[in-house]
Amino acid sequence: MSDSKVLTESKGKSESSAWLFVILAGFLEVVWASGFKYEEVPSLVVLIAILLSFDLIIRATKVIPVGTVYAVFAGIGTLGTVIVEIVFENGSVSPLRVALILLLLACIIGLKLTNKEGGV
Amino acid sequence: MDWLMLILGGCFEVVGVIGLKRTADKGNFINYLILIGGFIMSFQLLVRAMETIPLSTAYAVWTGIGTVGAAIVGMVFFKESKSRLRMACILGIIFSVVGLKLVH
Repeated sequence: MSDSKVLTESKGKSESSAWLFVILAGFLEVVWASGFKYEEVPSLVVLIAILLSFDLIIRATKVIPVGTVYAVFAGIGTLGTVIVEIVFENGSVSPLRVALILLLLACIIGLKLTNKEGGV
Repeated sequence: MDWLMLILGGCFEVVGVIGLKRTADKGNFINYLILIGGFIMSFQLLVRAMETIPLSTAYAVWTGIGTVGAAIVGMVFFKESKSRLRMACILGIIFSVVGLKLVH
């Protein structure tokens, strides 16, 4: 990594927009994942959501470590799909299943955030 | 079959995530091919699995398998940390995936 003056000065600004990209990408992820299951989401919307969410994630990964990006991205996706399912299935989602999903999510975030080397 | 598709989909997600990392480092043709190819295969399998598995379960398991797979690839090939906490997280993900399969 180069530590030029320009990079340091623009770091704060680009980092906050990178976080905005991650959050937006996470919401779009919930849209396409729901589209995979429910026919109410049109295919074109699913396709656009996939392309946009990946474009945003790639942009964010250039500024924020990929492990951190993916932890937040997966977190929004996991919680979002639980909420969508509760809404679509009129609340008939078993609490045990939600508890296991939350445990899975906690482990994903733990695993991703303990990745200090910035690998995959 | 649906759970096998889901786990395979998670494995292809690992290919896609490796492509994502490589594309972020250097956006050349091969890296985009790994990224796009990995995710196309992965999505196909996820869609198939979702025909019978509920949305939230399928999504969580898919992304969990992808995360564990990417962590293992990282530990083996990219010298990522192999701390006890990371191992505990991997075991926790496997435990939750098995639990979700059992309550399905």
